[in-house]
Amino acid sequence: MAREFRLAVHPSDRILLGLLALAAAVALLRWPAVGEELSTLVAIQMGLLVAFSIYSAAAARWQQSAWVQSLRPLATVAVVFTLYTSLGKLGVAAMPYLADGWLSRADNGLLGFDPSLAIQRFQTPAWVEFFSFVYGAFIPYIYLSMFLGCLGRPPLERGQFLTGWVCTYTISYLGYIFLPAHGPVVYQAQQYDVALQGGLFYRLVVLGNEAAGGLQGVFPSLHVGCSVYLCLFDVKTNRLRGLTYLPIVLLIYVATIFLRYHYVIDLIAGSVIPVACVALGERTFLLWARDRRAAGLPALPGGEADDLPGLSGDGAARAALVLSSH
Amino acid sequence: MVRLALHLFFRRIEVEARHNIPPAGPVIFAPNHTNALVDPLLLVIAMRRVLTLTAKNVLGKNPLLRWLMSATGVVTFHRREDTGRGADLRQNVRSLQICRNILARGGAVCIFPEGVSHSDPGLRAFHVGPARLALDFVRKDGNPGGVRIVPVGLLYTEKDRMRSGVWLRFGDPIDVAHWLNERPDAGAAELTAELQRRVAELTLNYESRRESAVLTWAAEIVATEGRQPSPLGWSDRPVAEWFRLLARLQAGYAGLCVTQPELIEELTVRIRRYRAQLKRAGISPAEVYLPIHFGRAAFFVIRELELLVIGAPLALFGFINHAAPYYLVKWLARKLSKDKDHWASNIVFPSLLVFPFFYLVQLAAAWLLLPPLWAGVYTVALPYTGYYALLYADRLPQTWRRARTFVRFLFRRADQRALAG
Repeated sequence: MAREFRLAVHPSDRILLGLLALAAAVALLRWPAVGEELSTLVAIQMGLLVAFSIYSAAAARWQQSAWVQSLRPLATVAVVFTLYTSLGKLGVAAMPYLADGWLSRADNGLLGFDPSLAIQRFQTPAWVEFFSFVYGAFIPYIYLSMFLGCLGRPPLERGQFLTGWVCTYTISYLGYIFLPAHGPVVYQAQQYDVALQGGLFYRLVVLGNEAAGGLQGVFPSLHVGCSVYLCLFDVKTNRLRGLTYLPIVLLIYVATIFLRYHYVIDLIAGSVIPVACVALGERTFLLWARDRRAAGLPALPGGEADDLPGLSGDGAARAALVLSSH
Repeated sequence: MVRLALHLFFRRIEVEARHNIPPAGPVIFAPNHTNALVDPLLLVIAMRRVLTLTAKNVLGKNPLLRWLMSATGVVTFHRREDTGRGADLRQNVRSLQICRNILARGGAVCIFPEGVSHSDPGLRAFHVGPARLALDFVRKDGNPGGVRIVPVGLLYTEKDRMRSGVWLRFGDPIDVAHWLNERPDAGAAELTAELQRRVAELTLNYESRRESAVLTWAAEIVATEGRQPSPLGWSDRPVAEWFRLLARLQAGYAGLCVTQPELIEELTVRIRRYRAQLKRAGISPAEVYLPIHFGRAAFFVIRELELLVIGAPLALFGFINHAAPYYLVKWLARKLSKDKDHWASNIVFPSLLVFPFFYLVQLAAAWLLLPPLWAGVYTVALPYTGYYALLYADRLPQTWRRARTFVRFLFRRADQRALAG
């Protein structure tokens, strides 16, 4: 039964189901102690878990269907981004501690000074505006990358891409839940000489953060984690696109510190996780496809790419696309 | 530096059967020779052991090459055909002795048995040098544990074009002592013949340039498999796959030449006509099967516009900062190259000097004129944008050609039907 479940359900769906189950369990376990504050989050997490379980069951049941291949990225991205707005809150509300103090001390221990305070003299309105633009550029970058990455890749590569991406978010969300923090902009608010001043882009970033549920969920930095993952995967499979965004990804590192949203330790963790997840996604998905083939099923749902390559991922170039292009 | 230069010149460098390179012990590598000084460099970067190169002595007339050969320990040989140009055959005794000493120390030597780089459609007759060296090493020097000769095939998709592909194939090593045991009376001529046969198996050898051209055109058509082309940006087709296809076609061609020569003539005429049609229309064979589908076209536009627009400033910066050394190297290559098989060498070798020189000047200027932060940014950006401009320059013409083909087929469906039919 467990084996059948494992072979039928896409690895990214399984990973996400595991995360949703964990988040729901944390919410339920802490609900009696925390009380009213968690009620909405319990409902959200339970709702997400039930909805995604139904979707996963349907996707496994009709795995050969073309609509499942098209719907999967959409459902996955929708759930992952919903969690982005809820898990930070869950961690802060459910855990009886905040990790800001530890993260700040880790920065001081690593560098010998507090980087967030040390760069204050460079935080002119012009630079704040520039880095706000960079910080905001993350949003179109990930949406475009997910659109191109989930639709314009060969099936095997697409599965690996999605699995690795879900791994990146899942591991990072564990940090959001178990190491809840608000970031330097809240934790060290009293220590800054002046508040940041910027223009339109800065206001947009602030509004965007508020709309996403406020500054909760800091460790590790998913701005860094997600953009590094997308960039690395592209460098491996479509070098020109990967290199096109490399400067923006590097500037995102600076922007997260500059705008006081992250500690340096968040960036370090946010760099290590995607590097591991590129390889993890590739291998997990390929092993799943091989196991399916060994069990007499089509290697990939829909029967695509039966001729599986080595772990490098080469060789599936001629397999069919969800949405091909010229 | 050499590795970097070769990886920039060639889009793909593929190596087959690296396990045939003995990790230790005396070995002679014997490759075919069609791309002048690039051939030995490819061998050097393909293996993880020190390789002593050999070269004709007349190369030493160029002072730069003489210095380079001396610095890298190249052993020079004097060829009979160069006797009027300063070659002294007696010097070869010393050169052979140097090679034998290297082998005696368990080293590796590379000798090109054809003796000269060429653009002939097939292998040239092999000189007996490598075989004689191996036999002398085993028989005269008393090394029964023996030297091995590794036949090597070097195949280039378009050796005189930047960003082309190369396939480096290492054949099964010949254990010379073992080979001699089986043929006690054999001499250098027999071993040379064996070596030539093995190198021929690793390479593609045509009867004529015409045969080579026709088979290449045929392979371009067959490679499409009548399917829609892969989206731009996907991995290139492996070079090995291309040459395997060519080899299959060549085998079929050879068979038909014997059984149905009139069919070969007819096919040749049709292939030639088809290619001329494609060339006139500016369409690559793969794009004949481009689907006229608006959803796919829209996806193409989003993907390519994103790259072309966001990448344009980076590519432009890279181009501006590398234009001077790039055009200087190209100009030098045009001046120095008298034939196809020297073009790549005349790009790669001057690049090794010209680009570092320009980098030195540009970086010195940056650190003198700019604040340290910006000079640091410029230092990092220079190689990155240079490489980016190279990739961008690869992609831009492909995008343009595919877009143009789509528009052409959109308005003239009959053209596509005629070409695909």
